[in-house]
Amino acid sequence: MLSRSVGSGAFEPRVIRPPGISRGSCVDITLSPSATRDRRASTSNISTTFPSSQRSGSLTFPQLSPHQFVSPLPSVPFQRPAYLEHSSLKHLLQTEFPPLLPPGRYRHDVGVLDDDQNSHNVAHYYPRRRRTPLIESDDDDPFTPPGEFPTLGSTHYPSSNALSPVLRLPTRWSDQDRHLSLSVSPDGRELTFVGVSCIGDKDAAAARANHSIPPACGIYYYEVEIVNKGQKGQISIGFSGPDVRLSRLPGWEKNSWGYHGDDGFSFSAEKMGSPYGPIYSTGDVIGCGIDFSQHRAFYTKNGDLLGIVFENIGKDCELYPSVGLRHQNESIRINLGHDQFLYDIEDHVNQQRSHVWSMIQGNTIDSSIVTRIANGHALAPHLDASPSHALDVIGPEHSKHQGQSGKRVKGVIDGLVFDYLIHHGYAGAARAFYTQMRRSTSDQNLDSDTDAYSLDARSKIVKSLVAGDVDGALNDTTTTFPTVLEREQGLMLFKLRCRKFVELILVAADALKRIQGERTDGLPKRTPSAAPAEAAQISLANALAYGQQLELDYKDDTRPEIAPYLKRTFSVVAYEDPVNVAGEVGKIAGQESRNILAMEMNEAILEVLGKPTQPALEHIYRQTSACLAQLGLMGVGSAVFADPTKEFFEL
Amino acid sequence: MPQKVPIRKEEWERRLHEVHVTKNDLNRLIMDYLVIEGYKVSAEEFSQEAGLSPPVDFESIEGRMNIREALQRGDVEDAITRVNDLNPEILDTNPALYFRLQQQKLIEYIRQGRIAEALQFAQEELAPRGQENPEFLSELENTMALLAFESSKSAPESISSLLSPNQRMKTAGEVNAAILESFSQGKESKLVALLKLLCWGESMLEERADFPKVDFGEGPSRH
Repeated sequence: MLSRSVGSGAFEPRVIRPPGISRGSCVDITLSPSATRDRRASTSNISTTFPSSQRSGSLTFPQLSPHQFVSPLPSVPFQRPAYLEHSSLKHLLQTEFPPLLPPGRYRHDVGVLDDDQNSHNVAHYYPRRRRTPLIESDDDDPFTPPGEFPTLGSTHYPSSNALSPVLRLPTRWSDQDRHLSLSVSPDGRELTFVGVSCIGDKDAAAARANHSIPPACGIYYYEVEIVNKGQKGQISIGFSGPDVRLSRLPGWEKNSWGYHGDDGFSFSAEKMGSPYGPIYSTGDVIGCGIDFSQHRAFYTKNGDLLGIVFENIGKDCELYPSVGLRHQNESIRINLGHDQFLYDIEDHVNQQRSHVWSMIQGNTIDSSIVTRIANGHALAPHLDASPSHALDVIGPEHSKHQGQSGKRVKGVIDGLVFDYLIHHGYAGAARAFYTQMRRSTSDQNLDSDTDAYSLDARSKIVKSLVAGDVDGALNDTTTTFPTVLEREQGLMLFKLRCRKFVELILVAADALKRIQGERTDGLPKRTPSAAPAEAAQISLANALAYGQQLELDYKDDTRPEIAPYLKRTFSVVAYEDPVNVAGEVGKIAGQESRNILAMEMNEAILEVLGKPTQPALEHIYRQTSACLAQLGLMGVGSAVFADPTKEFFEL
Repeated sequence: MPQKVPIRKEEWERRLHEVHVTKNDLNRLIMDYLVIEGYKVSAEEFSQEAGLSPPVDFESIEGRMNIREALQRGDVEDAITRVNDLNPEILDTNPALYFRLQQQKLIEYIRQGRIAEALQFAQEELAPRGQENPEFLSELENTMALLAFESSKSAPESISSLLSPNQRMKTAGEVNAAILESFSQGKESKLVALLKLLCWGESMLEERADFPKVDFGEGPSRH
């Protein structure tokens, strides 16, 4: 017997099959994993991703490392269904493995939460029972390999795979996790009852999909077409946990839920059921959804919503799409996103997403958060402590919080904005904001703040760097913040000098371009004047001389980051027009690179001044985003519908 | 309740570090706040310094702020004129808002002790509207009660608060929101939305995990 229920000691009816059935997959009951694989390989008649040696019946499978996973089953590949794009963790939800993860906005993994290695596995947040190892092959832990995490502060990630858990989506019926009276079609989508029809009231034959449903989907949905309702159409469509007996219809046992075709009743771990929807039979398409943001389910019939059903579903148990049949020839076909759904599930999910967002936005801002902001950064307190000024400008929102708390929130947000402007050296905006906030043109507090943060000097250096004026920035830094250049063994100085070299090359490239422009303007009568050509030569010579000195000064520097940085810097020489080269070189030469250096410089100065290197607002954003990602990974469905990226940054 | 998952400080800091957010993203949050809260000069400066185009033209910010200021100094008539100059549909399509402004005007009459004008205004302008809508009627009754309690300390909070600066701010806030809405702009700044999201996220996670919650701005450095 291949059923899970063997492991849990439950009764399993012995199914004797009639001789004529040729679908081999349900005849073989050998438990050896290699034999099982062999059987699968030999019966598969569709193209698979296996090397041909395996397809031709070889018993040897490539040796997989324990953490590498290759699906041994042929399965029709399909893209992640579009409705899952509404989950903020969509990049982790995969139909294939190993996936090519797109660079996500979040690169969270579940990570090492405690000393237990198992905590890599998201599913283990559930009080989950271990499954019988014999039938584990299809469900091997697909999650994070315990690779090394990059150290804090490294900015380069070898691959996002190593950092992110992959949440596998169901892609087919499991070939093991099914009652033996059911046969699975080679593409993994069709289930047919091939055994002797069940007679006892309780007996049935159920199957589960190959993977459990990641709650990080927020809402998960699949559809089932009734290919053949058989004689009685006693079919149940729904969900069941990994340990639910396969000899029962979903909905009868604990941790299982189902909607039955013969009477239209819904069953939630109960024998009697309650009236729910219409009956269904051959040709009908039944949709089945679970909403992890409400812990409820819903069904659709031929594209129409039937209504919400079940409470507290999926709260403390992993769930699989599951179907149960009872009579010979009953047959169903599942659509897990292989094809277009009949029901407009995308709209359904989108509505729930905005519902969750409104729910969150209907709350007020907790005073402890306000306190943590007010305590945290140096700029807030005296802004906050001035209710008479805070009264002057009040937003629509704050008028709802009557009295002190509203003013306090307003004051604290003003403080955050001011802190941000000061932090990044937006001196003009910071001054204007302060004036508008306080309705006064002179204020000692402003001066003491801006002095403490060296706003003007810092702002000037940042602006020089953004404009490509390295010398100006270097001179000002040497005068005002000499320690910035000395710290980290002169790392900042090194970076400035590299940038200076790039700027010199850009000047030379520009000069050369101008001469070439003259040559090709089709007016040969005027020979190119000597002056620009000479100037171009000089500027190129200048640049190269600077580069040689730079190399000389740092070629013996053994710090690991120096040599690659130098090499990257010198790569711009190879191009006539470095700024407009695609890829790495264009990035090194371009404006973005200036901006990044300016930001690094700004942070270095702030650090020397003993100030936080990130604005409070950025910290708040990171804390928010990290909380939500963690909640999503822990299976809190509503959290994946609260996507800060989508709400704040996508226009 | 299952046991809380502990998340160590270093692990949490790594997560914070890995959140992808750019300076440009945050700049846009700031700009959104400056515009919605009506910091016109700051928005102009910021737009220039950060190389960020503003989501609206600056004149509309100024227009909104003039209306707000008119209401805050008690000049309701001026505010109504300015709202209509900006977009006459705002008051036409929003009877509740128009009533709120009329009510504010009545309050200002009472505040100034112009009782005869207050009574006449109430009878001619407000009472007919009160008959149309029971909610307006009860607001009107509340406001008229100000006359009864005039200069008396015994007035209940719900009535005396009508004379407070808060009431002016409340009206100004509602008008501001309506104008923003008529420009199909969010009426609440994204910064406020972010803080609400933070509250929700932290409180949800608190039920399930032990993780660092520190004061903001003293957080982990990027180095």
